[in-house]
Amino acid sequence: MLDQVEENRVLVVAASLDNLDRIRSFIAETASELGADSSSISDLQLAVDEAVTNIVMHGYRNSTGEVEVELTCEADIIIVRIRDNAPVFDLSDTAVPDLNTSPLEKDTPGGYGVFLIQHMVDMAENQILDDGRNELILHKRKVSAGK
Amino acid sequence: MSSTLHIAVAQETGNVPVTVLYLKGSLDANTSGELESKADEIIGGGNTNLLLDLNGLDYMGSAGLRAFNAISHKLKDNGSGEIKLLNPSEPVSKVIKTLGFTDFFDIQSDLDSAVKSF
Repeated sequence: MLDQVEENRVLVVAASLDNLDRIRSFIAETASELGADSSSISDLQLAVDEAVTNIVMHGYRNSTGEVEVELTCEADIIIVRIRDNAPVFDLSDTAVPDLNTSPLEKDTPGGYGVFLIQHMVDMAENQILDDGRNELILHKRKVSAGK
Repeated sequence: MSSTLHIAVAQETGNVPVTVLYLKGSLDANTSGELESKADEIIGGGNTNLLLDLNGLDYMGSAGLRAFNAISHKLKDNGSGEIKLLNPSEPVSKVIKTLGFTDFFDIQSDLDSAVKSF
């Protein structure tokens, strides 16, 4: 049982919005097995969903590709790695969203997804792997603080 | 397996006719188009006072906000109408609060009061 919990859990799916629900379910099941509480799980689901949505819509755009989602844990931290082969999409390049204007009023509401990713996890960083793929790494404490 | 969003529609009458859309399931980038299409259909039919019951949503991402934006713009193009939210579930409230958008929406907690508020 302990060995199974410590194994890396990986899901590889087509980079399609059709797979968002499957990815969220994978996050919920695996993070739960790794000891995350419900609040941390829902935060991770939101962050991963937003990240994969961006990969599909802004990375691959009209082309096909895969998304790989891996969960591991180190001590009390869940680590999610999201890998794709789309053209580079770096968090730091994204415009800061205008949160002072109603989302109902904006002509083109954008940037909310990146903002949510950054606020739902304890750490988020991008890197390019040796094989050329993009990797987004998210860290989230298993147990939510102050709840 | 793809995400599912169920939308049930009901007509209520307060000071004006109000169309209530009961959303159930997941509102994400895969399903938000369904909400926009349904709202387009309703607005196209002349019903422009929309109340979105969000209590049945087990998930909402930023795509939900983009759908609300699209609906709001459709109502503006139409020249009249309003969109209000009813009883957002906890996942929905979390997204709205995290972005600091609570005050930008008219969020109602009771159906009768919500209908009469239009």
